[in-house]
Amino acid sequence: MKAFWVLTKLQLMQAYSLNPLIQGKKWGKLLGFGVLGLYLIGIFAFVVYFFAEGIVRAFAALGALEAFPPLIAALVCVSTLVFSIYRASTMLFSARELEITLAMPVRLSAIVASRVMGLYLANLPFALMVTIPAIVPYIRAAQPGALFYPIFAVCTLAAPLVPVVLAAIVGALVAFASSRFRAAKYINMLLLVAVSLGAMYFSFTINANPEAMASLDLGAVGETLSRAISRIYPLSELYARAVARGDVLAFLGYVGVSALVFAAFAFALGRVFLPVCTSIHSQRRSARRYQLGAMKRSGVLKTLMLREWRHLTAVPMWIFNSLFGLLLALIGGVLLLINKNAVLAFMAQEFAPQLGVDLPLGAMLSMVLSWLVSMSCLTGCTISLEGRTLWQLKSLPVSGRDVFAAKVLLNILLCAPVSLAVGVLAGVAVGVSGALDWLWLLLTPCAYLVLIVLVGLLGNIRWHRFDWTNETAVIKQSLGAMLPVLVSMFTTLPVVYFLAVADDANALMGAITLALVAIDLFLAALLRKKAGRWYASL
Amino acid sequence: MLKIENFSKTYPGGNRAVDHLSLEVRPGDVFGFIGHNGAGKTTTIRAITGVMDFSEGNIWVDGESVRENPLACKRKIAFVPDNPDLYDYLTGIQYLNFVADIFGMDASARESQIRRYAQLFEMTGALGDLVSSYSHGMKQRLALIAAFMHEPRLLVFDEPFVGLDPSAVHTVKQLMQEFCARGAAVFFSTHVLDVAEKLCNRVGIIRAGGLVACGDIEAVKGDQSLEEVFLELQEK
Repeated sequence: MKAFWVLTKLQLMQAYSLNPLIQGKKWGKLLGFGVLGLYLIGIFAFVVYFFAEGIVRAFAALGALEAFPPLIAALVCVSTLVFSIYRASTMLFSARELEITLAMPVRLSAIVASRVMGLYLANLPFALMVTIPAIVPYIRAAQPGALFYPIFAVCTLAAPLVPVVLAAIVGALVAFASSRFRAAKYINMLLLVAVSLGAMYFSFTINANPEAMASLDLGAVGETLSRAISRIYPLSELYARAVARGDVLAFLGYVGVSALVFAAFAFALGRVFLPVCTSIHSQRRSARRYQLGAMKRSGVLKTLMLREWRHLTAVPMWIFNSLFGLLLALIGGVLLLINKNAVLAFMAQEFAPQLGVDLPLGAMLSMVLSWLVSMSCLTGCTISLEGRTLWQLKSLPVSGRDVFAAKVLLNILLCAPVSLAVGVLAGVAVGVSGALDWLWLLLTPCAYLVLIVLVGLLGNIRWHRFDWTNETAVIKQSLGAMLPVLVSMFTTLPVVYFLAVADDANALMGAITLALVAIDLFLAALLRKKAGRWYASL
Repeated sequence: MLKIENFSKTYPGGNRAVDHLSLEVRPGDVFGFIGHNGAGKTTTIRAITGVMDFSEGNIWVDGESVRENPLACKRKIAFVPDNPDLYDYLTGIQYLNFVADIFGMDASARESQIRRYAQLFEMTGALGDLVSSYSHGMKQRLALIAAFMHEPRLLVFDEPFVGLDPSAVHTVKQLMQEFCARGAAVFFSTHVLDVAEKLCNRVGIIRAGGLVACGDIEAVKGDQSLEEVFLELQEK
């Protein structure tokens, strides 16, 4: 038992990377991270509460408040599943210290159990961050009895257990496939995109049709949605009866089944852990001997960009995390062509009712596109991802300017054509005719893209991490990766408010676009000037 | 070929890893840099190769200052660290082409060089595979191929023989001597004193960041073996 807790503690120390700061007595930095973390959690909690309030009101008006808790549980489970799939394979089967751990006089079951527990504990904070603020409006509306609180607390702790198990199984299969087939990394990416789009469609459908959620059996949503929820989260009915009605038997059933599935998985994994690890880590090389052929020469910038491209395509989570906004923009553009009215109605519902403003169409499309495109930042973690291979670049005769330029140019070359294409699609779909409207649709999103790319790189130069053991931690959890997301959010969405009160939307869009171009030029000049010094200090 | 003058490096936190180190490596030298763990060998090597910046002292490579003209210096250097973390997502041949592009090697020259060194290090058949599938020794050999193929003026190795099989070790030694005969120089750190004694014409022994002995190998060791001299100096 002691070994299990010690190993679990190690897993958490690795997941949250706080030990170097604690050991180095960097209390200032720790405090800074703590304050920033609380601030971000506060914002996230507020957003969750805001949306939950709306849904609770809708359910309450229909007299179907009981449907709310299982909805939240299902959303938590889906998002835990989606975000755990890639983390799971690394946390469970990571080779880094596995050999040393396996060679120790510790039971294999303790090693496996600690890894599975580590995966669960790494997901628990997110589950709590969603569930707790979301349940507050429900409590206010439903005024549940005293029994609700302990049942809810235990069910919340139990909710991530089953999706963690599913993610681990899928993650193991993906890791196994990746070790066997070079093309598997592209399948990984497609799988992640498909699962995420599916989850978004699911939540879009729920959001767009709250009346359909009124039935506890979800029958009114339609057979497809019902089956989808049951497939994703078969325990939703037990959860609903336990939390919403205080059914003790259902509560015991829910917690018991979740814990049993988790324990059974840990036990089963313990039986096959060694063979699975051996299979995953014994990468097979090609049976055919390579034959040297003719070679071509490339310029320095091109070869650096090619290297960056190959790195990008080798890390599915990097592509997914950085380019998902672009994918949504592309899908939105195509949907606009297919069914303009439905998409515009959805956009008006999403932006106009909650913000209480009417928006000029051209400007709205431009800002929505700008928001999505500006989420496409590869550079936010590109320096950190050099990791332990940075010595290679630094020992080669390449200037910092070339290294940074390659990273910036690749991001822009990948994203700008898509942004322009979506701008054209959107403009044609809604029948944009004015020259200025076309300018906002085409130029403004590109200007935002360049801003975010430069901000991302500058941020990562300033706040980088090379001591990572898991790429996902850098891509999703580092300050450098979060900065472009925050900048994107705070520089696009608030513009919607200003557009609503402006007398002349074109004049305002012009001012914004000009300001963006000026900032882009300034940041590019700053990067060019300081590249050598900053690169040397990495 | 390499001149280090009063080089010092203090890491954040106050750890003075190297203190006023000065030494010289002439064209044709095979210079062995020896010291106990944590003595400052890797810090010195990283400063020479421009992987780490420094503010005290200066380092010149073939007359160019590493601080003022780092790119010019790097064009003349080939560096292989003790544990080469290469790009796992590239194949061996992609990695070699990448390095060749950086050094501006034309197509025919790189083809013949890669062919030659891949054959010498018995890596030709594996060049089509991802670096992630290589063993440690294979990664080391790939890094050595990348180092030798662009004909550097100064070869800087950190523990070059770790992880290599005997035939690869023999190949590395031969190539070192071949390069030095053509006027290049080799600067390498090692814990294997037998190899240093047989291979090097000059050695430098570093202890706690400072050089405690430096010069022609015969002058440094005198009547003793290099191991005896090293242990004696460590005890003082």
